[in-house]
Amino acid sequence: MNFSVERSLIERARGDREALNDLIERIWPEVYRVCIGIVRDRMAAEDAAQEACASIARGIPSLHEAGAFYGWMYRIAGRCAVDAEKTRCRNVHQPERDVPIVDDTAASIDLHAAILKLPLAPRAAVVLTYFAGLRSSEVAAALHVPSPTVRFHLMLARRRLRELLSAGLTGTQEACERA
Amino acid sequence: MLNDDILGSNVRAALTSQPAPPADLQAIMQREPRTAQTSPMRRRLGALAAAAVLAVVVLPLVHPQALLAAVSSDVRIVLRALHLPAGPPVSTAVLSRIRTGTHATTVAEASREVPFKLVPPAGLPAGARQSTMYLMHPGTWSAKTHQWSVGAPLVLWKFTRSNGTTFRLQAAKYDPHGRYFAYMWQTVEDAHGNVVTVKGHPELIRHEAFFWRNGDQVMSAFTGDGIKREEIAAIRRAMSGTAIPTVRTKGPQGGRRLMLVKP
Repeated sequence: MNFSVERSLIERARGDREALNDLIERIWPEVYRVCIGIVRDRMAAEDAAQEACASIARGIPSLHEAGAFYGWMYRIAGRCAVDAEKTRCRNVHQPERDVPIVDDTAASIDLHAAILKLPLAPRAAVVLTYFAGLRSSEVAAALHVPSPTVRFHLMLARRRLRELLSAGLTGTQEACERA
Repeated sequence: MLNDDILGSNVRAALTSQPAPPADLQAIMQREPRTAQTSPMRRRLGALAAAAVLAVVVLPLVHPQALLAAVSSDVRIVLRALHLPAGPPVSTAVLSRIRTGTHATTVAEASREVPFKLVPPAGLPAGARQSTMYLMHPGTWSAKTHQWSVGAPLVLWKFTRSNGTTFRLQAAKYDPHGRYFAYMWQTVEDAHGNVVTVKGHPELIRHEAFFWRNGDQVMSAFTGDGIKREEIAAIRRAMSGTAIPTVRTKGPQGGRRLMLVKP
């Protein structure tokens, strides 16, 4: 887990509005990045990230163990992102345009673009596992699927990423999956 | 070989390099009900959001390819009741941009920002005084691309009469391909801000709509408690505006109760 905030801030955020605002500002980039890894539209990703942060703000008073915060935060972010992507796909009845990606490094562009080309479930599993560092049981809880299904999605994702990266991402963008 | 270690470090690097927009705390807290009930800022933003909603309703333009719809669930209720496409709920990101783009303005300042030649209202009813003037950006739903976006800026004036009633005028860029509807429909809210329904259908108030042109500006006004049809006509004449014909739409069907506001 590379991302962290002070434990005291998490504890204060349960009852202190100022601390909660600080906490939301601190976690926002991390939550947004989970969403941008899963949602194929920047505006929808921002929307999902806002929804996730609002859920975190609502739920933090009932979070008894500050140490459980990160897994809880990533699970909420992942769930909000998946829901947002499903909603977006229901409303877009045509193949998506490529997601505009602004980035500094070609390698990052390739990998992020490749992740976005994965179907939704493997994409969410990859982001929550490799970006958020969640265990497969935690990813399973976030995605409402059994753990073996998560491991299966990860296997498919690794295989597909290998193909995409070796093919230089020349394939066509996949249309939204029906959730 | 793409193993877990390589994936772990590279996925994190790839996503961490994605630039994150600044956190919009107001938009986030607006989704969080506890703050919504207590924060004065929330109430102020709520008022602005309501103004933005009004701005969009006040300009019910339908383009061949893009429907200028609504920015709130209330307006979507109205559109559905009228059998008009309402689109999905507006993206909160767009909504927050609409909110941040809405601000009090002056004629001189607004003239520099709007994409049309601004002609301020004239010939106002006796005793009417300007209480607010906003520059705002409406939410636009494109039926072609299925995307919400932020529309071109428009100007909204709110006037208060000596008896305490209010009315609004709105100036926007004239669209020769637009359709201007004869009525504006509004939901009714109870004391808690919930939409009033009758037998499961929203109760709607109907207002007559009037539009007139001055160059590339279209001014719109609606009848209501604060202004009558004759007074709107007097404003149009004083501005030397050209009346724009309106399109009559079907009213709500099947047992929906209407409260008609007499002009």
